Amino acid sequence: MSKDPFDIFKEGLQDYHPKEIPSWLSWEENAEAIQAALPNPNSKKRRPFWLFLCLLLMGFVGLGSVYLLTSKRSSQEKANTPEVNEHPSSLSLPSTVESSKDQPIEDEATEENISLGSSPLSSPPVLLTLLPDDRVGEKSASISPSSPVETTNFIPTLQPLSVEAPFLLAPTGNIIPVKPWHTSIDLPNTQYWSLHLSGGATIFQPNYVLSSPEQDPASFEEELIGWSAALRMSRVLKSRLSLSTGVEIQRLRYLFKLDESFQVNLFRPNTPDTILINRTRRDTSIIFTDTIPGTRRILARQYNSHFRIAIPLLIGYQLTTPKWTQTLRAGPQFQLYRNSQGYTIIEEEGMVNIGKREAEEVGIILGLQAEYESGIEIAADWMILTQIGIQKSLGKWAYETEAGLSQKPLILYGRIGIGKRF
Amino acid sequence: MITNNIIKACLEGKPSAQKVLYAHFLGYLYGICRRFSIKEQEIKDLMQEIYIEIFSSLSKFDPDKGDIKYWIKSIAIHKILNYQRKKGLEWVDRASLPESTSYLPSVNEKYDAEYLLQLISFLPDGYRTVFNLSVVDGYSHKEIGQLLNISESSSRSQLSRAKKLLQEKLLSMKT
Repeated sequence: MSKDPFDIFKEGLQDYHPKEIPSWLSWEENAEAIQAALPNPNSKKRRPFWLFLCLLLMGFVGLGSVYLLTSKRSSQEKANTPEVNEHPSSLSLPSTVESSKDQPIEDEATEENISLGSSPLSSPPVLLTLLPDDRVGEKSASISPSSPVETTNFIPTLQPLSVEAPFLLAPTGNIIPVKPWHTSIDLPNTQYWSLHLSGGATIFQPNYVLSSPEQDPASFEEELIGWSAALRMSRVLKSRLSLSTGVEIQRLRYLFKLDESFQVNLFRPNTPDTILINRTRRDTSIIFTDTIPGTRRILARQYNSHFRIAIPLLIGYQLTTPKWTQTLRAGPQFQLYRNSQGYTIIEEEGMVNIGKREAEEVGIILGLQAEYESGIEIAADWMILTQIGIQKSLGKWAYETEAGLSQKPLILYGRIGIGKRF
Repeated sequence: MITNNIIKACLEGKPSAQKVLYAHFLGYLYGICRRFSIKEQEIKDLMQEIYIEIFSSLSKFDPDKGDIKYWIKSIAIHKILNYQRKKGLEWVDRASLPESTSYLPSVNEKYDAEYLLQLISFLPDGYRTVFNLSVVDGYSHKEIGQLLNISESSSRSQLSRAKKLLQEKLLSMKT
């Protein structure tokens, strides 16, 4: 195989190290500038904090809801518990029971002892009365309102008698009324309107689409938090489905990792030694170099600013308890966006020249949205609520950077607010 | 030799480790900048950008996928191409291409690297970039097309013209 004559360039240059390296490239000359631009390795990203905050919020809401529900149910149980929960001293223990205490416990449930003679669905509730010494797993019970029946059947109280059984025996011997599961969620049987107003944080992932895949897209992306607010009107139907629409506003501003080193030499006329117009933001690295006498050089980063107004059309499914409402919603949304960009550059090498370019673009694209909402009633028809959701743009934002990047952003949000039923 | 310990210390932001890594690749990266004919007064800032990118994305480096040297080289090349894109590459019109040449460098001849650099520096920007990427760095025309946002055929023709120009230059220097 013949060798390409131009391989001499490969052999000669692929590991080329110049014999002399200028002193201005030494570490001492450049360390400060490099380290100033590096992110602090000890600083944590904001996203975990944001997620942590949302999870914490949801945890509070969830726990609060569980507490409210259980406390209400307990109070209902107390009110409904018949007097037979107290061990009546007047009850006497049949002799047949006493004699049966020493018998071995049969740990099995038979059809006979589970049903207690008839199906709870087809017969009126049976009042089960216990005698003072009744304990879990022991035999004997009396049944009313029919004439007391002495039975030697074993009653396995730790197993459900049946799903619809009206009572269970507690280990203490108390009788606990059991509410059938399908009535433990009190669904409103009416249709109603609700209005929600909420606000909170939003996190924006640009998701660059590279028209020329020159670099790992991740290296361009920098998520930033903005704010978000929503006003939403919902119509809840009997079927627990709901239809929602409204207006959502989001404002985000982020900086490019790419092109972070626009060099700007700035000075004021007549006072060339007093310069510095800092166009960077608080989280932007500033590197000072000194190549042009009488001027100071700063590195300014390009920024993008986004403002979005979205109109969602969402369909939801709602689970409602007396105090706690949970809703899952999803659907399309129409996004009206305005992107603006600004940066400052030096236009001509060696010339102190301020160049400022700004661009602004407005457009409409379609997106998808999914959301989980949890609300707790704090007063009649009023609730506080939390919303966690995700929005994905279906189309590319028309905006395209000089590097051939456009965006298909992914937006996460967490909001708290209030709701009112009508 | 850059060890895993040095990389780890760089990730922790230790200046002493950063200095070791910086010094280790300084000559190599300076050589790449010169190969792409970056002007001396701009090399400092470009080198800073390259090192900032290296230290910022060091956590993405996977030693199992290859030598850190080639990972660093790819970062440097991307940065240089970004820089050139901002400046605007000088792409030569096909009409101004040289006709033909009869001289080919001998594979047995030994050329000094500085001499080769000097030869390359005579090339127009676009030719030099494609020549560097293809011949020296081993990128395919498809990859070059993607990197420079040009078609594969453009990359091929630029390389072909670059080679012809170099042949002419070599011939003129011989005679």
